[in-house]
Amino acid sequence: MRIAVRFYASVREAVGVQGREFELVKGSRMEDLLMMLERMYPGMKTERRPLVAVNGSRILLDRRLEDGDIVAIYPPVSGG
Amino acid sequence: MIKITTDDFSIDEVHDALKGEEVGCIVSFVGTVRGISEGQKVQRLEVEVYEEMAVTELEEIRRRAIELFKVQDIDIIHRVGALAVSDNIVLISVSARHRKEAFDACSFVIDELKRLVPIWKKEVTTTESVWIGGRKDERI
Repeated sequence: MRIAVRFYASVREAVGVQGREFELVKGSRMEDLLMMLERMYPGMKTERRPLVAVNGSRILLDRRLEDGDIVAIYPPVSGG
Repeated sequence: MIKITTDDFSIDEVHDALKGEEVGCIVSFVGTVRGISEGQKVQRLEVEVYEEMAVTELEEIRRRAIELFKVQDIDIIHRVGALAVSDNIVLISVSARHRKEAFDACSFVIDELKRLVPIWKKEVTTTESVWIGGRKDERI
């Protein structure tokens, strides 16, 4: 299944790309994707894990991903 | 009304639109770009957003605030892009029958915005760029 990943703010700067697509095994969870990304982009691995959202909604890491999902990975927010 | 924009906003226009027969007060919070941060002179602020999700989160915060505090209406405008010192960043305006619920709702909205909405600010000073809310190792 194909998943699109977008990176934001300090996470985007740490990985050096705005986003890319990944082919994952069916049934993969968010946790699996995050571990894969941390191996691919060592700059992403910090003492505090980034936050994640799928299709614009905050999710838990054990959430199973589905074909066509858009995953956002971002640091703690700081608007206002 | 929820708006994310690169443009500045008119507080008077927002206030005029919120006035009505049942409105006895309007309470507003305006966030602006500070010129000094932790002793460093700020040159500009860069604001980044995940817009689709931010709009959804802001709509939900607005809905909860109106329901919880029984206020008449709430407008939220957040700017994005490169902002200069003293520029407006965010406006939250609450119209209500009485002041207490308007103050409480306004405070609730800005607290929830800072906690939940995917917006990030980077201060660019004369010596470094720092993501606000980040750790020392996020200084670039």
